[in-house]
Amino acid sequence: MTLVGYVVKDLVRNPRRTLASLVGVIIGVGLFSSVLFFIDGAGASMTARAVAPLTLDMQRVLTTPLGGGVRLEETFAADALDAGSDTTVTLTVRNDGLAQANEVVIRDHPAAPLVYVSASTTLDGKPIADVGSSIPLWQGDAGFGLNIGTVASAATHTITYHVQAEQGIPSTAALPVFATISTREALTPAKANAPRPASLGQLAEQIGRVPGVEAADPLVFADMPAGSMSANGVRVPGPVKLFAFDTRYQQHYPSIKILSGNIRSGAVLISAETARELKIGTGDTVTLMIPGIAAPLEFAVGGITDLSSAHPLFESRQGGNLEAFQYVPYTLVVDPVVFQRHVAPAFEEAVARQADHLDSLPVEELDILIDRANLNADPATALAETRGIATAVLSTAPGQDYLIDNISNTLAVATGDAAIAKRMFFFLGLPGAILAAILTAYAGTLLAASQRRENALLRVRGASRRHLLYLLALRTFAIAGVGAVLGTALGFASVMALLGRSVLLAASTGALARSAAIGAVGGMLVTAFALYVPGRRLITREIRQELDVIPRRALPRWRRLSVAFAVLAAAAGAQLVALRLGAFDVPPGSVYSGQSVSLPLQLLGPPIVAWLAGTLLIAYVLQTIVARAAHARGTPSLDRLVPGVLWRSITRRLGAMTGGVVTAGLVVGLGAALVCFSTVYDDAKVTDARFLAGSDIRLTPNPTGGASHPTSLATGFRVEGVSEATAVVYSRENAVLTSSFNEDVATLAAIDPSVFGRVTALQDGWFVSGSADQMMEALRTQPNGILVNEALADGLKLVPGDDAEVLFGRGTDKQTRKPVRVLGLFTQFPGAPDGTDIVANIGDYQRVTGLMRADYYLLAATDRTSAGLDHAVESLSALSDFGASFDVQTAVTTLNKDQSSLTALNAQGLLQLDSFYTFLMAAAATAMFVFGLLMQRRREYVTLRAQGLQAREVRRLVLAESGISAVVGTMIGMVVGVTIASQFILVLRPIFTLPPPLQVPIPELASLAGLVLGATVLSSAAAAVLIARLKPTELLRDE
Amino acid sequence: MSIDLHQDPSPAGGSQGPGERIAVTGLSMEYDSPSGQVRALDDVALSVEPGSSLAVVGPSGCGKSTLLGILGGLEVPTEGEVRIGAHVISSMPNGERAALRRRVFGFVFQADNLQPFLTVSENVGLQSVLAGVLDEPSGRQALLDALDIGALGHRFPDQLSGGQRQRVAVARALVHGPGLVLADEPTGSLDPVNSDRVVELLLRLHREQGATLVVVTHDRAVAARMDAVVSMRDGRVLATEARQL
Repeated sequence: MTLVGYVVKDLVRNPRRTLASLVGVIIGVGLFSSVLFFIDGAGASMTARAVAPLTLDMQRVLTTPLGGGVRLEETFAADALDAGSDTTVTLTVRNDGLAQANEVVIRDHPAAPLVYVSASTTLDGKPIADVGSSIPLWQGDAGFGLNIGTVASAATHTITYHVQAEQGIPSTAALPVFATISTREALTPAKANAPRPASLGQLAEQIGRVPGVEAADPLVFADMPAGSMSANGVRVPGPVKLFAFDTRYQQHYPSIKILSGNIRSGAVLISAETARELKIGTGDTVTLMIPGIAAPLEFAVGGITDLSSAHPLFESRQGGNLEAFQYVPYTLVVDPVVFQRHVAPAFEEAVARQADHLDSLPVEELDILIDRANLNADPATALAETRGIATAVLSTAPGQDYLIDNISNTLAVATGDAAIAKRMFFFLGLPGAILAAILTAYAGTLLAASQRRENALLRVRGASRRHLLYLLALRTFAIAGVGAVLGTALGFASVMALLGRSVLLAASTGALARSAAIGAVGGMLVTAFALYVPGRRLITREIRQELDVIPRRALPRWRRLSVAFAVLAAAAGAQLVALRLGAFDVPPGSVYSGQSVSLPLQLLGPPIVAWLAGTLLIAYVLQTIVARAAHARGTPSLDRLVPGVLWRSITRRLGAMTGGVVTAGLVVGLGAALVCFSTVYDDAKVTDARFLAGSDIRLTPNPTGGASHPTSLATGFRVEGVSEATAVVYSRENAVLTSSFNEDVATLAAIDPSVFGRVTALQDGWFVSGSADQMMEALRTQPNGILVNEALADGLKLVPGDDAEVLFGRGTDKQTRKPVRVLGLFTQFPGAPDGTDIVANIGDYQRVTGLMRADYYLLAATDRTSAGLDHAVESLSALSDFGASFDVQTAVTTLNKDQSSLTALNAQGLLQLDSFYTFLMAAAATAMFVFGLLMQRRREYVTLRAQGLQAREVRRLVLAESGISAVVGTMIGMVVGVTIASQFILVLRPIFTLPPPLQVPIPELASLAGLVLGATVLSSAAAAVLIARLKPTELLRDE
Repeated sequence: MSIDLHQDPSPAGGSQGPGERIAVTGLSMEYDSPSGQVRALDDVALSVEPGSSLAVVGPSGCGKSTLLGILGGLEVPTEGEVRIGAHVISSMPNGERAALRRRVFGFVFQADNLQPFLTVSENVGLQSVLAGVLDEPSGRQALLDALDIGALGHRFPDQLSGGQRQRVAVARALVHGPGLVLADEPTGSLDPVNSDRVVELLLRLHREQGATLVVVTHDRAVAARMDAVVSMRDGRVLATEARQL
């Protein structure tokens, strides 16, 4: 029989021992490979999830609409030039537009080998002086151009200069063109001799053919002054926005809703608010007044629109805040043909007349949809793809325009998040992988111990150390190999169960194959190493003892204690320094400014080290205490049989017990940390969502709804499932706060302080100068009192008790200035995503302004679960005209909005995966300890049985010893787990608006402890059964 | 070695006095193995008088140890009856057999099978506690002294030599004054000097206490010192030979 055959037979004929070793390897590799598969699966949907909320992929905006504006032509008097010969360069500026071009700047310099001939420049025949002996069209190092002032509509100007050829030039037409033209209206310099700009329709057609572009749709819009639209002599009270798009555009952006009628040539669509204000409908006539034109335009109304959710029309329109949604209620949609025939000429006429009230010209743009389905699943690769598409789009008929590449910007953020996520996944997976390696090494130790006798027999039969090590290597690789394959399969299956088949298989086959290969090969090597090392050490020790080379000497306990203590102290020190340096502090505004969040993941290292060193330290300290206590107490009598035997077995073999305690402690420690982290993560998401929404349910009056929304309406919302409701007055920059030092525009929230605290669950930590209850009580009882944001108060040098003045209802016709007193300061206030500067009593606000309208309502639900919120919303929906009047937002619907894209990542999924394997490891580690005990001590138990010990007494011994180990390990694990969780959660701070506090979920921790203890009881019972089945006659006669 | 045979080395209680009679009839034992069913004992009949000694000899695998295990109540035969004194041990429930092992039997194995976490003194004393006899340290010490290991009472098994450990095993088997001492190759792992000492001790204490002694052995010299010798082959008793006293 070969040595390979011997190993195969050994493994096959000792199935229990083989299986016990395999379990550790399978779970370890399973965890390791599942993290890899999870990253593949989660990454596969990352691009799709990142771009899902994006409504506009790309916008190509024309900067010179309405007729094409000014153009520049460059010509040479001669084509071929000999060396040293001269020629004249002519630059012709022509304004083809209807409006004059202002601040027209021409830049140019000769292309080598041409050189400028000094003092040769003329403008319309008049000489232009050189600037510092250089051409006046390229001044200084920065190359400033020549400002020729205003170019009237249809006017032409000519600039000439002479150049000399330093070398012969076969054709001047082949020389590069450097001449450009820019104006105040079109700041982007346009090259000379550029092709005539394509029309929006032509551009749409060309860009639509660019690979990767799904659709390119023209959109024109213009902002017009208040009152520009009227019907039957009635004008709309606010500014008007005019849109021009076709039915294809509407189909590509379904948030544009047409309530009645349709887009058709010769008719316009008006918004529901316009229709209500002007009291007109389909078939009526609406009048549009464009400033500066003599006769207003009249259109037949062809339908009514609801554009309140039409983000493509309103997003990215506010300067300085690109993602702001600036809704305008009074809108008009015309067909592109109507726009070209009637509206554009009217604007051109207005421009030509230089109308005073024409604030802005229509903006023409192409809204481009990218073929998202074909984008790579990895955001970084997808980003490269979209940037390539953007380059192709921009190079199609280039001219005086620019591109807003929203999708690339989003993917750039997602790329950063993906990198952060992968690191977070790695760190969350790392403790599990370490534990799996420890578990495998533990299994290896048991396996090696169980093979001592076989190795001794082989030695007797002449096997050398080299033979034994070869056998060990074969055995190790067989177990690790089979375990790695099975573990990889387990990892794949567990991720598929967690993420779903479609999500996991959305990852590329190459990525999955790579993960499988890394999982299997890497897992096999690591676990083989973990199995091999204990076996090799044992073989070496046995042989040395046999040869009497070294005496047996245990490592002094103080050395192990000191090592654990030193490592733990280093970890604690590192964490303390990190905290002192503010490493976990939130980078301000990162979440809301569309930047990728920054997570200090490298600082998760110390908690992981603390987990390992802390568990060891506590276990060793306990071991020392028990040893000393046992010595001090003396040995109890054996009269009480089981306790007497147990006491001796434990106190005289504390090392073995400590091994079990440490293993259980590490498993439970990781499990407890994950349970706490998971609870904090979940709770932080819900708390954040509730903070952003303001409460459980937020009702915002629909702008298209016809009903008025007084604050008193709140009482009507106390339906089934709603415990409390309150109205809030809130809008951006709706107040001015004036102190004796300075004044500032501010955002004011007017609330009902008698109810607000119950609806929103205010936290004391949000208030600087008292508790939440105290602040609400002060606001309720003290007239004209306000609460001020700490930052604003600091800027205005206000402290509680100061007098100040507030302009209430800023921007309305009821705005009123009123003296107030600062009652307190706050740092955060719920329900205001844009921040709140001042909180006032809604009663005071209404008395001062007479404005009774609420901006939104906050409702507290009796049941805050998802089902409870659904039930409350269902009850609300039964109210008359509710659906048309309110937009409903709940804490659940807010959950995945308004936060960093990292919160949308499936970190919870990874935690579930980790928890699943931790629970598996907890059960496996417990079973291994018990069965390890059985393997090592079966002769002891059988001897005790031969001596007359009853089976139940043997059971009690096994259960008591493994039980004490599990209980002590569990207790240590709980302490260590909760402690490291308190540090782990610091990494979540940058993701959430509110700093997540540590939470200790007792039921979940009890379940974990119950699992470990249950596994102990079951394993012990199984071990006792196995002991009963052992053949004492054979076992006891073996040497 | 000096053993004071006038000193009573065993404490009061147990089965002190005449040993147990052994009566075995129609004893068969089968068990399953990976290669199929094995008949370890086949219709064995045996009778041992109280206080006498018996050697069971035969080649390896002939069923000697199985027979000893059944006599000691560690295994239950497939067929047949085994009587130990008044007890039909072959049909006793587990609990009762365990109780009988505590009080009536003393085991000595080829391997000492001492508990590694108990001292020599505790290993010996544990059997007294199990048997429910008075565990007097002085009595225990006297027994250890008689076995020439009196100074080793506080040591753990891994601090003893092989011969010392086997003598502790003998002390453990005899400390509670058993009616039947069962020894399975008690000298198998010892050198000739220690082997002689252990056999001598077993016989002297057996004579002193009056216990019935059954020894499974390969060693003809050891067997020759017993009152009777049973030869076995293939699970059957080939011959019973009584020694002339």
